[in-house]
Amino acid sequence: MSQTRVLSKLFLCALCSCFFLPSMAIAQDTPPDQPQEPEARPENDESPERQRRRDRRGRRARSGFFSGARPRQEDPRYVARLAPYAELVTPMATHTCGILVEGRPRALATVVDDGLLLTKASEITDRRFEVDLGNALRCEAEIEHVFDEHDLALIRVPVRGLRPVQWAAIDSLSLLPGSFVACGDASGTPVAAGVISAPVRSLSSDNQGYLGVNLGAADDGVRLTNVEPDSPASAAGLLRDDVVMFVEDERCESTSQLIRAISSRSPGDTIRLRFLRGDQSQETSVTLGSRAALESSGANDDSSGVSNMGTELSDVRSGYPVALQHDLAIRPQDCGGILVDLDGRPIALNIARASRVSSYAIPAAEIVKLLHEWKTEQ
Amino acid sequence: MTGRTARSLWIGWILLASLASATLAQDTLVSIREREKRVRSVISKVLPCTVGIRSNGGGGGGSGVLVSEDGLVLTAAHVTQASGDSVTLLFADGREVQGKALGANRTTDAGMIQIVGDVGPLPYVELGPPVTVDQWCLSLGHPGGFDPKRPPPVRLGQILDLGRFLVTDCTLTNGDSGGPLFDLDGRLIGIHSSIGTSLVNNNHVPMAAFRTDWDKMKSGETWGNLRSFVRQRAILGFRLDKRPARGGGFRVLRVIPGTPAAEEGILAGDRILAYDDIPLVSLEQLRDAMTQRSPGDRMLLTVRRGDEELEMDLELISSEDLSEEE
Repeated sequence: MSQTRVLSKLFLCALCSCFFLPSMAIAQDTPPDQPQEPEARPENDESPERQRRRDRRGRRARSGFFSGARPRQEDPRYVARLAPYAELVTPMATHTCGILVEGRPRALATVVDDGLLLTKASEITDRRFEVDLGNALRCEAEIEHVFDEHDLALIRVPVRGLRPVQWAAIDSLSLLPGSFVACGDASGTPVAAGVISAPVRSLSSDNQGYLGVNLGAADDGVRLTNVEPDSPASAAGLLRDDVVMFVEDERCESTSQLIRAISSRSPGDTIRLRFLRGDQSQETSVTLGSRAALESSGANDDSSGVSNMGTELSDVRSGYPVALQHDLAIRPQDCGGILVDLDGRPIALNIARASRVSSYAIPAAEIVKLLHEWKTEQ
Repeated sequence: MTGRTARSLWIGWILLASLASATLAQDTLVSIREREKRVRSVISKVLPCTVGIRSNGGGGGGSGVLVSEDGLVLTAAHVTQASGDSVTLLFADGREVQGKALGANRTTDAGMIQIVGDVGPLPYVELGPPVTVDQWCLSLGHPGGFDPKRPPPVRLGQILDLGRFLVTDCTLTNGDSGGPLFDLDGRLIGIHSSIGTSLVNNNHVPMAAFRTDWDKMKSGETWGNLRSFVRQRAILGFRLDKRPARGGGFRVLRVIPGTPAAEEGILAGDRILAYDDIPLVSLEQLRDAMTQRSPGDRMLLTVRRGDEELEMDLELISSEDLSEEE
């Protein structure tokens, strides 16, 4: 009898336990590039920037009805699939330490210089933490610097002789979707393997203009299928079913053209829109708002309640100025560790479990740049 | 055979299976690198054929994939709301075209869209052959909806189970619905449909569901209901020995109480020789046959017990009904 057959039998029994769980259709309710207004924000003195930072530290999607499935790292089948990656991942253990909060693993930290480690800032700030150096050695550490936008913290340990990682700071254009990547834990055991999902891009929405509408196609331009109350669009008198024909003097022919025209401008910019209402052509001026202010956790794949089904998400998981998206089912405590390619090169540092389908890493080239800038400032 | 013997046999099987999994021949870095090469070349081929779908009436959206030069798009039935609805299809390169929903089978969650207007020749993918468990596959789509700043993200996985839906560990979420699942030759093998709680429960409509209803759907007909769209497997109610029995057929190891098999009087130790007059030569054959059936269908079994040959007509039930009775 073939082993595959036996395996598939084993697997069928394993599946029995999930036959009876609810399946969910995965249509999407709201196009994401026209974000819905989240709950009303309280009026206060906080700057939008401060407020965004605070919002980003929102509640971790830790429990909830749908997120109860066990991590893939506990599935023997998945562990078996990871085994060949040990050869690539294990050498990184020399450069990797654990971060413990209340004695439990909270993140990983990567040695970037003798005595200096890089970790995920939001997992350690405002908390007492220890660095687990392996071999039952633990020590306290001081936060030396926080790279706020990247959610990275540089910490100093009173230990000599740690071996810094030699980053493979390859050009971001060479980090191609479909390239295989893997990562491990502090002991060098592989915890996940998968592929790069999308080209390196910015997730920062600080400087994007925002109109507050939903869009649909129309013969003469782009139809507003919804206008958010209290949005820049409604303040300018735009109504549902208006058809936008021109942005400034540029003809508006597709929804993505209008989205680009708006998001490439900055909050506070005023633009002239020509639109059709019924068969009447009208014109209005709109002062764009800030999209960032509307997004509390605005990662792309994170627009709904199912985004955390079967997986525990990082508290902070958006806004990175440079990010590499991959499909590795890492756990929040695997962030701060090294991502390697099939040549065993450290190409990025894991920074967030962002949704059921995505994780983010900061590319090595960006880390090298950040550390260089920091050193120069010293 | 007593219930206890059957149970200990069953446990024995699980132990054996675990042992076998520990010794299963492993992937090597060489084979993994080979796979990476295939994945990368497939992506450049299939990415331009993958589209985001937005309903022009406002509201819903999802993903889809082009399967002909003249603009036939396959998607999930729950993405297209009603036949004739107008939709916008968005390509990764920013191009937008208009489409019209054709028909759909809501029970299998298969749907079609036709691109309208003169848009010139379009890229498209081929439909793939039947798939097998453990086969590698990759998923595209627009999780969270179409995002002009990001091409459809790639996810890699394996086929874990075959049934009315393909089950994979290529993770899916909102907005992926209707998006394509490919084999490593870039052929279309599934359309994203639904997810369960765990990361290993991602369900895709198999190509067989499209092939069966192709003309009917293309003509604009919509039928079926979404209720049964929740994963339901037709079952008979017994487990068979993996090894062919001496003298032909497969021996019943265990009969699940409360199922049609139990009610019709099938016993552990019986040999199943044929179903619907088709001689049973492999378990895969029966499993495939079951995936084509729905709860409520009937199946005629030819059963050997000692020297007797019995004919039993069984009504298939849903695996969900089983949960209530056990």
